[in-house]
Amino acid sequence: MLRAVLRERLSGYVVQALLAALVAWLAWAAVANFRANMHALGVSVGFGFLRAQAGFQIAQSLVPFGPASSYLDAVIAAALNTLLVVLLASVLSTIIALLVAFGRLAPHGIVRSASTVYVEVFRNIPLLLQILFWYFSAIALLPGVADSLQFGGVLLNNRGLFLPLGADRPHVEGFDVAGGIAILPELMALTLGLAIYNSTFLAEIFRAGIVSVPSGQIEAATTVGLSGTRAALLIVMPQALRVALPAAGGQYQTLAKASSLAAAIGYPDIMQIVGGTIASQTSQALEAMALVVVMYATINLCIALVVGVANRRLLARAHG
Amino acid sequence: MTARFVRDAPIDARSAPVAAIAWPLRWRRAWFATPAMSALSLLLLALFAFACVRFFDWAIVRAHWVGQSSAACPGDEGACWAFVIARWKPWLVGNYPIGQIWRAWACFGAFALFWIWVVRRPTAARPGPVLLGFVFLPVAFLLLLIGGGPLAFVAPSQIGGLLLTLVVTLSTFATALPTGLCIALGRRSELPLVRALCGLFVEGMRAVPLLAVLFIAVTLLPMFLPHGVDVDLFTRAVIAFALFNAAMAAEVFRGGLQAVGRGQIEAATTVGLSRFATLRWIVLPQAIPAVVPALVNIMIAVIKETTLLSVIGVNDLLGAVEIGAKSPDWVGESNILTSGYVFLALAYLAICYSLSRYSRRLEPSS
Amino acid sequence: MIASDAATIASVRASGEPPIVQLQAINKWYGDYHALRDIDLAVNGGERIVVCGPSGSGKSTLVRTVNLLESFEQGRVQVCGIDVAAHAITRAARLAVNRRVGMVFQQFNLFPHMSVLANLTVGPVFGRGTSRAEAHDIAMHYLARVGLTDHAQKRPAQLSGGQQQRVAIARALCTRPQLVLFDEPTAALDPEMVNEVLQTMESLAADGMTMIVVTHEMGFARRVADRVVFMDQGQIIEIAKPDDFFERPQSRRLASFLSRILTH
Repeated sequence: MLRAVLRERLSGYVVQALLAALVAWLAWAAVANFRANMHALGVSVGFGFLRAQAGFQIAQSLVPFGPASSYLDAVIAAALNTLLVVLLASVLSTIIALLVAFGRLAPHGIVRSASTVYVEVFRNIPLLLQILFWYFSAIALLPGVADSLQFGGVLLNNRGLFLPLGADRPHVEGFDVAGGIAILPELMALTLGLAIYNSTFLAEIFRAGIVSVPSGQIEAATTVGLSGTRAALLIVMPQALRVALPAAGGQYQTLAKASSLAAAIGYPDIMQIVGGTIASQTSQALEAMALVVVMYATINLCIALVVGVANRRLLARAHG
Repeated sequence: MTARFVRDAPIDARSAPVAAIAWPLRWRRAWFATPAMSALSLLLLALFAFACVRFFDWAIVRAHWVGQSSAACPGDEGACWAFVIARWKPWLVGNYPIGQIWRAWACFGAFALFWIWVVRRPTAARPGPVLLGFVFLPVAFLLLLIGGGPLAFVAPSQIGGLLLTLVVTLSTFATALPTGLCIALGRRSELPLVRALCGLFVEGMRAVPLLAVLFIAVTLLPMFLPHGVDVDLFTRAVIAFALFNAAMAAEVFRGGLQAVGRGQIEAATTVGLSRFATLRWIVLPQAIPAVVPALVNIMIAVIKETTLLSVIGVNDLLGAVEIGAKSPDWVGESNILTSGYVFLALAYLAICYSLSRYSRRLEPSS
Repeated sequence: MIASDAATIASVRASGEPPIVQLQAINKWYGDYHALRDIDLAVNGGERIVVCGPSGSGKSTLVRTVNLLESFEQGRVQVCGIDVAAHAITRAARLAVNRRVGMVFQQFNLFPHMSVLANLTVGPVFGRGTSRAEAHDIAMHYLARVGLTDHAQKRPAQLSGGQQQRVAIARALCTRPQLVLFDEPTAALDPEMVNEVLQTMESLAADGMTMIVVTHEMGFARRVADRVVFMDQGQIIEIAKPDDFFERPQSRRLASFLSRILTH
């Protein structure tokens, strides 16, 4: 009996052995070709280049970056820029999505229709097109430095959005703006595009969560005397969030990956700097793209962890 | 003491009373019930009217329809539809030689007929023939467009615009679906190595942006091939799209396969079906129709993803507009580029929205 | 108002106390389907009413009209001093009524993400503004009343069906209602748990709580009800005291219904 079982398993072992051999051969061939090609081009292999001087400028950097900075500094600056835009866009996207989700369930007919139209329009237009529109059409239409729009201490023109930093208020100096914090038009366009596009999907996720709460729950809340808003906050939202959180986490991951479109408008994020500038300048595309892949995978992993923790806390929470 | 009650004559059903509130009054109830709601309604209506008037003004009243260069659209006042109309050929077919353009029209026509046939099928019909059609159409289109043999050869790089979007979408769909199905089945395999490789592929593809996969395909793929072999940009892009979306399709199929309960497979065993027969006759026929709406959603996503081709220099619909706006005839006014974007937005909106309506129609009404 | 419950109302007027619930000429349609037809019913304080009838007869709809969970197109409802006419069912009215009337559902409808204790306190604390300490005491008192003190910190999913329904009864009581409605409270329970819930309801009745109960449990009706209402096709067919109802039914439809039910 044992022999018969083993004989059945034999084909499985053979297939796996052949498969392993195939994969190994492909890998070996790929590596051999790669080294031959790199040798022919005279390009070195390895991550040593990270210590070398970068020699290029980055338009926006949250850490000090100058002409003497290394490629590693550039990688860090790029990573921080990506995290910045992902954070801004996520927050903005969530706010819009909550509004639109409630809008789609509102009793008011116009509000409901407006929300539905919003979702359909901005979901079906490609994200790249939306970002390009914000960057080339909307922001390009802003006035020049000399005619900057002003609200309080804030300056807005086609060079960007300038916010006061404490006492340091932005003011026009010649052809440029000095002082304050500068938000690049690239960052504005990318944040707006990402936030609006992803808010359509998030709104549907939130709405599905709210709708999934059985109507008996709302009836029961009514019978113990809870009014509309209180019932929504105490009874509906916790149950809705439990359903929506995993799907919403996936959408935030999609948002993080979509931020790579920064390369289309030149915002200095991971894709643009590491996958673009560094890869072309050092000709070490493999190392650069490996860095890109690892960094995005790490960001996604972190988002998954955060969502997982939030999910567990939501499940464990006991009221009262 | 409470008295007893007995009904002698039953009450017959009466028809419902006509709504006591006439139509205009009902609107007033719904939208103007409280001062706050009235203010909101008025505000929304005012905004809507304002936006409509402005857009109509820009798009129709002050638009420029005729012309061959940026001189036809001075200023920022109105849309420059002349830009869109004059460059119809790059939008539709890219650089395809004008003498062979009948082949492009044939492709568009064939696809239109195919799509009409698909949409008119009842939702309960088997998805098999449609999926097969989706696999064979791109093969036929590529053969027709590229040619060789009796037909004049046209380099793939000359295909552009909407034609390219169509061909890439169909090719991606055609390769990603079967591959994705195989990978999804591989993840359920009993062989641990197969399961691991398939799982690794799917999780790996899901962790990275599509743009990164495209970059890798474009810059790195030549590095891994032996020195003489060369793959052109178009093929590299399609490979990247196919692999990425195969992972997405694999996830969709995995959901569908899991939804077929274990009881089904147990029952199949008890009537003596082999593993392969169970798969062929019991599992797949239940799994695939269940995921067809999700597959249509993948197709919609692919259409939107084709815009990324413009970033790596392939001349798709979006790329054609950008190239047009930078060409010497049309460079200059920002209004020209905006008009191009608005036209594209409407085009993609029309295509993707109608596909999503179709997908919703396919969903089981529960 | 037709002469269906005129005698009841007359007798009540004689006693001086207004009825706690009065349904006058209630008609309800679902689209074009006439679901409730010319309903007239008065319930006095302290009365226990059982409503029964074949499925689809509108008994649940009737009971849900009392606490305005269902709207109606014609007629008037007066509950605990609150007067609501057909087209004036506002959210404020519904809230006001539900703060005086409790309900127990067939599907329990406990809040799954809260502990048993939280289920009981959320209404008093967030609906009536009771302090948390006082709400806690009230909740523990009623938990003891239904015999489930040990389960205060558990989640509903950890309890059996019978225990969940008893928690639901306690939850309804925590808002100190003047009247409790029961919509087929034992219909979703396994047979061995029906009794524990019925016993809880019987002890509640013994304490003098006004109750309107929709149920098929005829034994319960005989033991506990002051009056039994028989409904069919959206209308009240017969109302009588339990003895008369079960021994001497006067309408043909009630007689045939009883013969079907009791020879089970």
